[in-house]
Amino acid sequence: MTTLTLIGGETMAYSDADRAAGGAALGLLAGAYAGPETRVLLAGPHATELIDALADRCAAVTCLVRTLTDAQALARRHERNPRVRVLCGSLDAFTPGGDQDLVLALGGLGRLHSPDGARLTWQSSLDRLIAATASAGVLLLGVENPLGVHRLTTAGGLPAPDPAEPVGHSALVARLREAGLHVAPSYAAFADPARPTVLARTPELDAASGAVPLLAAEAAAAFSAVTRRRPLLDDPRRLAGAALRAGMGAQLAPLWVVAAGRAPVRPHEPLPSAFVAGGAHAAHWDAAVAYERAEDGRWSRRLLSESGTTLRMVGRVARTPELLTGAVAPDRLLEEQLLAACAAHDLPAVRELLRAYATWLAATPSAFATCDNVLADGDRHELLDPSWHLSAPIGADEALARALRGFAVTLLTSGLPHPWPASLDVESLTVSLAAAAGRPLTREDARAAVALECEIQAARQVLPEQAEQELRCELGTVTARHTALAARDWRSMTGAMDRLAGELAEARDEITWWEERVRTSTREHERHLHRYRSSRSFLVGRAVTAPLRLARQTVRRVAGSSDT
Amino acid sequence: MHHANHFYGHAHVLARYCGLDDTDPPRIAGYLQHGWNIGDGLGEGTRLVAGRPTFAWSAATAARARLAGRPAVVIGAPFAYLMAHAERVLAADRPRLAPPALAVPRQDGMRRTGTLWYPFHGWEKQKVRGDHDALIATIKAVETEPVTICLYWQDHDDRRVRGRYERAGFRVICHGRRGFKWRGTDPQFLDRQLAELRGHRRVASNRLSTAIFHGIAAGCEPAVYGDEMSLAGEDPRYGGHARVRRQWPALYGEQTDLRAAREAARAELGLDHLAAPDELRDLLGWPAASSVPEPRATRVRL
Repeated sequence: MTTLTLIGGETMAYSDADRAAGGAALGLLAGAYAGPETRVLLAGPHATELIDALADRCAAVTCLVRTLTDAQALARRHERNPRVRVLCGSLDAFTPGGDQDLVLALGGLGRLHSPDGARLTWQSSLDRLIAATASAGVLLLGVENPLGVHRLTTAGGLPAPDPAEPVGHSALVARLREAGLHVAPSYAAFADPARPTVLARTPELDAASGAVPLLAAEAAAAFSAVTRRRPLLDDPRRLAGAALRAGMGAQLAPLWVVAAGRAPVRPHEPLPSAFVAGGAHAAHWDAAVAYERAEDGRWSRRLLSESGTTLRMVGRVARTPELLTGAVAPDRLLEEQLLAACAAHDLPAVRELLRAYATWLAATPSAFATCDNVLADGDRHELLDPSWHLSAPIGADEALARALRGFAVTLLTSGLPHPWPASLDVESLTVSLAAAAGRPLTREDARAAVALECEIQAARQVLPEQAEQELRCELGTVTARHTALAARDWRSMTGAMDRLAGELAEARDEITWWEERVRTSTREHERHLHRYRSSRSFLVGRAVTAPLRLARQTVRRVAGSSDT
Repeated sequence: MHHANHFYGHAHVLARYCGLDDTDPPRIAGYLQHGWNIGDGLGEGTRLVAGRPTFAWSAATAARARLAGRPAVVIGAPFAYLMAHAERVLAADRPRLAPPALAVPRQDGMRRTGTLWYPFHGWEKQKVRGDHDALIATIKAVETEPVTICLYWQDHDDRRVRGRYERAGFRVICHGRRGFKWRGTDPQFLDRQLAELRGHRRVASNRLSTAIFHGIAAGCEPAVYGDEMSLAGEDPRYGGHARVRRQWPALYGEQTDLRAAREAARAELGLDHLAAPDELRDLLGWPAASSVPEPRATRVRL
């Protein structure tokens, strides 16, 4: 029987459930600190699946939530589990016992206070949680970054900053050290601070780390999944990529997760350099992976045992998560290299990249070897995520058409400079890119790629039929006027507006140009006509044919009068 | 759309390469550089349509055009497309894409002899001042093999000028008319030039010019020597001829370094930038070719 204790100051008629911290990635991190003997305190709202997992494996689980609604729901959910205890009330009414082996506050310290209790400062709240931790215990704290990529790019309102809260990752670590704690290397988390899917240990985020390309790709995928249709100032994928490349991934990550304790912090099982769980696809496809850096600096990936390891399918699209295990090349993404070459108007470089890619693709055709999933270095190409495949084999041209059309869409909707005429549509650009790759495709091939693209995207999102049709329509009608498909941000929109204004001005100038030409040619023709009419041969000809003309006029006049 | 795009039959050559009707090339959606220069690729005082790109021969020319605030795309020189096309025709035996009148130009490896000499010329509205007799004397002193003089059509039509070179015992030719305002263009200008260049061992002039780079690309040894003559109304913005001498000293002299010359020609004619027919059509704003399947872009060997 679960006990629900009202400790005082509980919040009535409210729920924090929709902002509860959780997700598979945070679950994996918390799980590494939890063993069968562990007593856990979850302070603040946490996702049910996270609590369920801990309740199954730990000796005792105490949930401290401020709202009565959440507390009652928790008590009901775990009513048959005597190891789960629910405390409801404000943090200031909570008496720490100093006996918890693991204290989780993954949603930060802000949602521990109640309107009916005293509001503790950030520092006092932290002290209260430290006091709850056993001498050898671990406090796992999640802190949202007020300068995170998610906040820098949002067009929505932002909460007022708490002046007592440490700003910046190093300030946070310093505050914990000042409180007399040992701090383990923190994790920077992307993209949604409440449910991050990508966690990377901060020391691995320096610009020289070989993990930058793959972490940038993972962060981009994570942002793609959470920013669809939300109003944005700028594309968070681009900003996150730039931050990671500049070695500022830790400073601009949406969330930091810090493990601290009065004794040196040691997880029950070794933690990887980075891990990714959930994210870009529907939950059906989820496969948690860990990235590890070896002694020699090389990176490898392994499938975490918690994930299901069986082949999964939706329609023709299949995923074999086991294929994720293996070494990962430190090369840059092909898409990133192509965009850079296009921005520099370097067509020979574009051709070289595309030719090497198309040659490789022809040897091993795959619908999933798209420019944003291929790591390339000269003639060496490797799939970033090799776990996807189609159940039916696919031709090299079909695979190339999907990849190049996808890149054409990215290029035209990104607003980045490129060497092709602005009037070019997606199909023409695809044909042009294929010609540059040395493997000619037709416009029909490019159009046919929409069906494959739609099939794959719909399968990955497990979309219902109606949504799939909408997606097909959207993918089939992309033009340069569209802003980025995945992120409709203010920068892309103003860029698109500037492009339209520019094109209009250019069209007007072209009209003026044609008018000038017509005027010049008309004058020229008139001059020629005048010269011809005043020439002697013309005058002689007129004189000779004058009687004929006179006769014709007379006949006409007579015929006309006889009619009336 | 600019009439200069048709100069020397450039648009015609590109249309042929793209598998389109080369007797009536479609309008190019921009301005095609019509001669080698050290400026931004445009003729002076050209009325440009805003937003329409300059189709430059080399990366450097395109970069200068962009500095001048205009969009530019590097496509390489039309002469290089002519050579690429001829090679493709030879390689693939595709008579339908063959140059119409002149058929296939003479192949490299055939016996080359003599020097094709291009005395510096102005154009229809520029006058060149210089001493043709002194130039003839210099040519005679330097060249050991038979000399063919190629004159600009104006000089060729001028009986006094042509007569001087003929009296000196040279063979005198003209590749044809450049054309103006879409009239009088000789679409086979470049075919004639390529055929002549491939028959000669050396190409020479008194100024570094388009013909010298075309000659190097066609396999000739270049030389630039003799009275440079002076040109009325020369555009001083990009440094004039003095700048050319400073930039390409290796190409000046009676004998020159062939390796350096080939490198210079590769860069200036944009030989590494040639686009495949499908790409070129898109870049120039041209329609897709009729159902003729296209061979891929060929690299021009130097």
